[in-house]
Amino acid sequence: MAVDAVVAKSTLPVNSSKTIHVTVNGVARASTVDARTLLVSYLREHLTLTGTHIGCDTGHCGACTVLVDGKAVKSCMMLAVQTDGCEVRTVEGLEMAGKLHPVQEGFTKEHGLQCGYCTPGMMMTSVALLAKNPNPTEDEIRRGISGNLCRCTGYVNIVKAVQYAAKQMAAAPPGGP
Amino acid sequence: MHLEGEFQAATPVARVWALFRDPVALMDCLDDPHEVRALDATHFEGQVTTGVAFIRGTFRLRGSYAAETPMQSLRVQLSGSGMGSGTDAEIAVTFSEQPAPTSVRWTAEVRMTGTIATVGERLVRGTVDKKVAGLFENARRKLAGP
Amino acid sequence: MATPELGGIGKSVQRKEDARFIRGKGNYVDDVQLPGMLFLDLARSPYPHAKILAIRKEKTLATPGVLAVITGKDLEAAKLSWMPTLMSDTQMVLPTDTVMFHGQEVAGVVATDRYAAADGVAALEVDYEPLPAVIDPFKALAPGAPVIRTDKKDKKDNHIWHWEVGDKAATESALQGSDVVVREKLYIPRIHVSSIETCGCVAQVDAMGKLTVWMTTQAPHAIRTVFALVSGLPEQKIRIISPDIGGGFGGKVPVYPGYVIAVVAALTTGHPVKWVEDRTGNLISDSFARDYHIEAEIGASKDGHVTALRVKTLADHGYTDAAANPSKFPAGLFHIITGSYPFKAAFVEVDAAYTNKPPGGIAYRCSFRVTEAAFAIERLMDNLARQLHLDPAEFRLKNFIPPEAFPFPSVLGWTYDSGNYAGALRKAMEIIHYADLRKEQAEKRKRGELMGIGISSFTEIVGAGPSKTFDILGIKMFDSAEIRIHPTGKVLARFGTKSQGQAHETTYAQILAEELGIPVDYISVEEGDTDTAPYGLGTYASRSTPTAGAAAAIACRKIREKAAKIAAHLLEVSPDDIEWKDYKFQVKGVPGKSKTMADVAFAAYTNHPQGMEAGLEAVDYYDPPNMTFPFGSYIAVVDVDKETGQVHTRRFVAVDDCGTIINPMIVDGQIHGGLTMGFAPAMLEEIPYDADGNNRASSFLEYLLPTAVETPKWETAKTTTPSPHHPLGAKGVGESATVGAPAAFVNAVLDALEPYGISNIDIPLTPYKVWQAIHAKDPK
Repeated sequence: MAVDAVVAKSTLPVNSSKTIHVTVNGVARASTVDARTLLVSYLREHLTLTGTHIGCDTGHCGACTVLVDGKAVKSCMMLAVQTDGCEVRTVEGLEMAGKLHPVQEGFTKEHGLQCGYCTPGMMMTSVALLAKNPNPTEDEIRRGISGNLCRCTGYVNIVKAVQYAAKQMAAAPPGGP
Repeated sequence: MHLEGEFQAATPVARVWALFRDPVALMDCLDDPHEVRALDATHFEGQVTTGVAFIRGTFRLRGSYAAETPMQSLRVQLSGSGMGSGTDAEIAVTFSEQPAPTSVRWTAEVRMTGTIATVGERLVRGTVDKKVAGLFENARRKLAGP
Repeated sequence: MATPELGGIGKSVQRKEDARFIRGKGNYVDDVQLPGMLFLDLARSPYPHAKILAIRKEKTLATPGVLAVITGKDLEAAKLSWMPTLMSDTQMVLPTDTVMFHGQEVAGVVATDRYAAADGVAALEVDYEPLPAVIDPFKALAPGAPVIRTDKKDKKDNHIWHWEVGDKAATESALQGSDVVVREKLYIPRIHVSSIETCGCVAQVDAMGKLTVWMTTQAPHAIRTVFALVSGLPEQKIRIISPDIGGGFGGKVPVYPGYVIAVVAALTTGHPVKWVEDRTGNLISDSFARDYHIEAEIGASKDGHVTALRVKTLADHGYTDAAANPSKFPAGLFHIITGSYPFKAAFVEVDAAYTNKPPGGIAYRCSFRVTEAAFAIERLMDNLARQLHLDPAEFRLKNFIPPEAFPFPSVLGWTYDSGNYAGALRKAMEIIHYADLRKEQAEKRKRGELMGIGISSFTEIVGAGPSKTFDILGIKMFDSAEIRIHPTGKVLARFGTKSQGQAHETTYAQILAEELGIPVDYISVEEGDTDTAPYGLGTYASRSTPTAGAAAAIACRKIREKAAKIAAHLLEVSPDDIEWKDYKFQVKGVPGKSKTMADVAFAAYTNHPQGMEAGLEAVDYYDPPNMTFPFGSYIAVVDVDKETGQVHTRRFVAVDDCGTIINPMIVDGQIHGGLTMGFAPAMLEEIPYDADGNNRASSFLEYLLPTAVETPKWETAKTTTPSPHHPLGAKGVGESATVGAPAAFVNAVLDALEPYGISNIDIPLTPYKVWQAIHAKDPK
């Protein structure tokens, strides 16, 4: 019978590193990172912004969603070096001057979270969605968050949370980037 | 993923057909080390040792012929499994005598499941492309010989 | 400052835990960072069954950042290569010579960070010699099948156990005497809980030899005891901390090899070690649920009354029985399978088989094989109704155990506490306009359109459990509450359970608010730290409110007893003249002469009666007298596209009865989530193994969790039938919907396909399977 040696070698340049300049939640940062460091690792381990979570490593669950230049991005699918010169916003950057973002308020008021693990990514996707479409229909919300998986809520209350935020933001648009 | 290609064989269609209809001869066109045996008129099985991305090892191979019109077209269903992965391929080949002597067109639909699917199409496409195209290139070469 | 609202039982109080979660300030295991912390990654087997010829560590040890490689041989020296499962079987931590399933942990690589650890895993050289793999459990039990557990000296086959309950002969004769009998084979496939947070831990050993493990566990206290028994470390020198948990659903009850290897790594390197599995590791090696091959038959008289039920089941447990059932019930509480109906005879037998797959048989948001039971009975009731040409709702209403029959002794030995099954079904029928839907369906059928209505009227069994019958590894299944009222009338309460999203911090606080008259905002709830919380068996099987919730109420009542004496002392009356009314201690018949719990608390530390102990606290370890039996009726309405097999759920109404509701908002949230985890296996999820033993769903690309797009828009309603034996009348709710929903979906689809006469399609009902079923009957 055949005997197989399972050997696979990493082809990534482990030792090459680069200094990047990123604005994270309004704070300018200069950091030296390995070329292969994922954005999510940079946020969680270099900057200890652990609100951004890892759920699947393959870009399916959306728990790691952050905003890069206002666009919702799965931070496990992007290298930290790719954000050089960009503005990154994470869940820690939603609350401004002690005031919750309407999306945060919506998630708690409408019981849009349970274990809380998908919540930061889900909220960041919602923020990006509302920036593009301030008055989404239920169907548009469901499609808009379909890249984010939640195992607890069954989505009904997440839809309500986004609707709540849309209403609040129409009445008083939040500040911030 | 979808792959396709065509080649001209400098030999009559009967010989081309015979090669494609013989699982042992056809699978001999694979570059990777393998063993294949026919089970009956349409089914065959064996194993192939190969690697895609970080997944390498010996894979069980099962195959069958379907939808045949002699000298005109056939389909080969191939399924490989091993190393926590599976690959299913459906290869459709059509033969025509225009232009003469034989023109061969093929398409392949390849689906990957299990660990290999986690790698992502963009990273495995190049290798898969090379292996499938290689099979047809080897077939062309074989048919060009005596 | 004004006193905040009480927020007692029945109020939709906003969740306390949200404050940190919406700010990204939750503290999950992967968020724990310690100085000098190392990272553990695991090499896994690509073969379902193989001999390990050699593991060569050299290239891994030469990889930058790698500090250690741990193999089964290394663990064997410390007698740690095997560990017990919760079902008293044995499970490998790491293999010494043979791997048993695709994805099994083969070696641990410890490095400075997770990237270096992954490099080390990639560089590891393992030589395998593949062995024949046994994948199909029926073939596993066939004579001549290769024996999987050759480590067990006397094991000559792959049969694990046989379990049966009921009267075989009486059932046989009742079925023979029935006018109609339907029989069906139902396969409930392997599925995976896939909480969005995978499993992991951080293990640390301090200078005094104390081991602290931050761990994704639903049962920290039981884990501590298991660790103590396996490792020989003194139990007081082990501290398990279960921080915020990103979903559990049963998947975080077992002890996985990674936890043990991380502990060994921390002990051997002297550094804290973190292990967090990636999603592929989670999907190919963590314990699975279901994998039940059920053959069931039920009979009825021609006037439509059920008679008897017989079930034969084969359970695929993978290479070890690592289910998380109470010790006395290897097939869990599967014998709740007589459901909501008064069968006069029943017989259930289950056989378990080893196969070359990872361990199976844990929960998937359902306790102890109850989903399997509810699915089977509710599927068969529909098939039987069809045979009898009765409407499935009418058939159920005719057969339900009536409300006056409770407490109801089931023929298989349970005593159902309370129920009003017809009430729940009638309510669901009203909400969905059942009669109108049937009319619409009849018209559509004339036009050849496929619309289906599916009912599931399930009875659950939760709240494990009474100590006389329920234990895990000998530990009785009580649960606990410890309540301290501080001098200023603020409360700290700790529990033996562990929330994974169910909002215990809020729900328990509401129970305390109700019982103590202290506002929820003044009550802090803590769980999950074995150094501080009282011992309990943890959170799974919808047991927290039935057990720890009851303990909370009783501990509060113990406090009230003492507090009444202090109130009497303060009010200078006899304790007999004091009554607890309107959340205060009142002098009977003298309105206005009263003391609040806060007044009493202050006195308990500053002015307590002579001869009385100071302080105001209580502990309760609650041993439930019986299980609780939540129930409900669900109705699904689907439209099926004949050409593609696509099923669209138009409406889904869920009427649940979980007894007294503590927080309606949270209960509704539990139902929504549970319904989604009922929808998922019915329509999307399956972990398929090919004939060669490869797991073909090792990422979310192929293991399809429902997104917001597929998930139906749930409509919920309640009836309330309190449990007579629970101090609050509550029954537990976390899993009801997962138990009840799958049969409603399948019944609806088969109802839509009624013109084709299809009696079953195994879940998940993917478009391809539905199309195949239609196409087989109507090849046009």
